[in-house]
Amino acid sequence: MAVTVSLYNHTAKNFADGTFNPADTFKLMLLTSGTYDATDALLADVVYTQVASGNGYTTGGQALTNLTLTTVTTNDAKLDADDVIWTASGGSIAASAALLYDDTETGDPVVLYIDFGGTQTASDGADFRIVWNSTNGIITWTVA
Amino acid sequence: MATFSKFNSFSESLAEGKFNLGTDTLKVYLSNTAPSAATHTRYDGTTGTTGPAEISAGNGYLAGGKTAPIASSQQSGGIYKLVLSDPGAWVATADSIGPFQYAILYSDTATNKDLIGWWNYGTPVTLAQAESFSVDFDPGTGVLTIQ
Repeated sequence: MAVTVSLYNHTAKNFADGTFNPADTFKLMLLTSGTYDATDALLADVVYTQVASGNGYTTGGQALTNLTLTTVTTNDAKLDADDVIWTASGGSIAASAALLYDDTETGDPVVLYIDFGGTQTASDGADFRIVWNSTNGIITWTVA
Repeated sequence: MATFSKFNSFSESLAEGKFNLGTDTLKVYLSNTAPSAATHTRYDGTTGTTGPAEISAGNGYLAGGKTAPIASSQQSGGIYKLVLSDPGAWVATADSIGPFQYAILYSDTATNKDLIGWWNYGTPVTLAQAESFSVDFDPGTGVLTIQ
């Protein structure tokens, strides 16, 4: 399984102009299908089908918790948060991708797209986990 | 143009929304004190550590420095680039300005007037009466990129 994480083109700019703010609510939703287009800016621009509500998954996805921004090395900044966990209940949760977006800003600007490289399934009672990179977190910015 | 260096706090402050590099008033002030990338964080305010001491006002130099207008604040292919216009020359009037060796960029809009980076001109410069000094930004490469 090759997992691919892709930022949208406007993501860096949205951090640079303060559109994305750590005080915002960032949500991660699970998709049964979707297409990554780097030029998409808002949730409405993205072509996707969200996992149906139920079995432990709620439409809109789950808000990131304990969002942190830290300085790493000297000129980089790291965005990190707790891993996101859905526990399947009453049936399985299956998804092939995930989409992170800012639920606070108008139009819900999208941040990044995670392609799981195939459908992943958590059976009833099991966890569906998104585990952020232990070194780089969700995003590590390089300012040059 | 002298080499641009960034304050360590800048990246994190940027991601935390302390700047709006599309609309903030960005200014350049002059100093003869070496900046500390690791410790200096602000021009003014109450949070963080004040940056290098500014040269004395007078003779054509106003406290706070000059505004560097934002020429563009855009991304291309996911890489963000900030381009600034030149802030205009300082001209020594009745007497000298300086000495100074560093031109320091900060946001005059941010709550604590947070520092961004600086240019080191190598040796202290003193402007004699009627002499001028300009900070010349490269319109192609811009001041900084983020990716």
